[in-house]
Amino acid sequence: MVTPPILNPNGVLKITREGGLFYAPGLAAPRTMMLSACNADQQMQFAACMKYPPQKKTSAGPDQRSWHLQWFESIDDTTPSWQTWVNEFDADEAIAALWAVATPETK
Amino acid sequence: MCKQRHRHSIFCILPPHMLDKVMRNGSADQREWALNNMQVNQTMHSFRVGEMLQAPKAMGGGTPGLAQRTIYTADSGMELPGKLVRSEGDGPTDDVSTNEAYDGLGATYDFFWQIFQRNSIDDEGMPLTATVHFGKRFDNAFWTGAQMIFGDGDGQLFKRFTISLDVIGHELTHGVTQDEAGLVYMNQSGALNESLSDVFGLLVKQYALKQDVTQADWLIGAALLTDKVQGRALRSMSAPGTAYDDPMLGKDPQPGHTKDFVRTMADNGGVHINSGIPNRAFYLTASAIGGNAWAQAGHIWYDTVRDKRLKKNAGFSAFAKLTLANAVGAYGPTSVEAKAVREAWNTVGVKL
Ligand SMILES: [Zn+2]
Repeated sequence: MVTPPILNPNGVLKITREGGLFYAPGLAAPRTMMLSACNADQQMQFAACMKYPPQKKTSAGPDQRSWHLQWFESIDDTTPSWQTWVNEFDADEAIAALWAVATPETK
Repeated sequence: MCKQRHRHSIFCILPPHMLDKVMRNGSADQREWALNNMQVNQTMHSFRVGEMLQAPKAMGGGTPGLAQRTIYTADSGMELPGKLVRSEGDGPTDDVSTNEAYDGLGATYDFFWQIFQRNSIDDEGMPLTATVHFGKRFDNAFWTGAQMIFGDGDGQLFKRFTISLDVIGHELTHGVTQDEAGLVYMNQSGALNESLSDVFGLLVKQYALKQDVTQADWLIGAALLTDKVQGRALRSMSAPGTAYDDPMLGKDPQPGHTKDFVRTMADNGGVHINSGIPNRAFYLTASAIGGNAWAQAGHIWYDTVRDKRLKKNAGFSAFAKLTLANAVGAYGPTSVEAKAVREAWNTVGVKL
C-alpha cells in the first residue's frame, strides 16, 4: 500500500533535474526547499509537486529529462519518506518554478 | 488521512489516488478538503507526450530524396502534436522557430540522403515531424521515438532550441541510432549513442555551411547559450571540458581521455559526460585525414553504426575496433584513414 507523505513545516523537498540534452553540473545538482520557508504561492507549488504518486525511476528516451522529487521529514534526514520521478513533459510547471528558487546543494 | 494539526491545509497533501479514497470514505470535512485539493490537481492534459511515445511510427511513402516535413506548435502548452503550422512545400511563416525547425529537418534529411543515400531516419522515408514552442521556458529538445520536440529556452541561460542546426541534427540522429545499432542509453553504450548524435549533428552543420575540418568550430549548441552565460557551447568535440565555466551551469565536465572517465549514477551513467572521449576520437580522426569530415571519417562512423557486429551494449573499445575494421575495409590497412583512426583512439586512451 502506498503511504502518502505527511507534510510538516520542518520538512524539506529536494528537487533534482535529471537527464536532458546536456549535463551541466550547476543545473544537475539537487536543490532543496524547506516547507516553512515557502510563501503562499510557493506552498501552492509545493502542493503541485506532491500530487504525483510515488513511483520508481523509469528509463527515459535520449535527451528526455525527469524531475526527481524527494521529501525529507527534517533537514537532518538522509532517507526520504517519499519520492517519485516525473517526466518533464508530464510535469506541472510548478516543479520548475519551485526548482528555480530552491537552494542548490553545494556538496 | 493525516491526523496532525496543521496551520494550513496545504501542509497535508495527498496524491490523487488517495484523495479519491478520502472522497469515498471520509467525513464531510474530509471530503470537502479532498475536493479542494483535487481541484489543484486538475492540470493534466488530454493528450501528453507520454502517450505520444506509444504512438505507432508513421509510415513513409514519399519520393526518395525528398523530405516530408510537418511542423506543429504547442503554443507554450504540452499537447502533441499541437497545431499544424507548416507542411512540406509551404513557404516560410512569420515564426522563427517554425522556420528553423523546418529548415533544420530539411538540412538533416539532405545530409543523410546526399552523403549516405539514407532515406530519412528509418531509411524508408519516415516523415519528419517536429513540435516547436513546447512548454513554457522549456530548456530542452528531444526525440520521442516518433517526433522531435523543441522548447523555447528560459531566455536567461538558453535561447530557443531550434537555433542550433547541430542540435536538430543531434536529435534526428538519435532516431537513426535507434533504428540501426540500438545502443542502450546508459553507461558507455549510452555515451556512444550520445557521441554519434554529436558527430552527425555537427556533420549536418558542417555540410550545410560547406566547412572543412579546419573551418568548423566543433561546438555543439554554439548558438544556444545567451550572452549571460560564460561559455561557448554545450560541448566541444575538439577540446572536451572547455565549452563553459559558468556560475550557474558549473564547469563543463566532459573528459577527453579515458584516464579522466567519470563514473557516475547521474546522467544515465554519464552519457553526456563521457561522450567527450569518443567525440574527441572522431575529431582527431577527421582532422588527421583533413578535408571534409563527412567524407571519410563520417563514412567510417556511419558504416560502424550500421555494422551488424556492433552490439547494443557496446563499450568504447568494441566500437573503436569496429571503426578501425571499417576504415581498413573501405580504405586498406595502411591507408591514411586507417592510420588516423588508430592514432585517434590511441590518443584518447581507448584500446584497439
Ligand atoms: Zn542526445
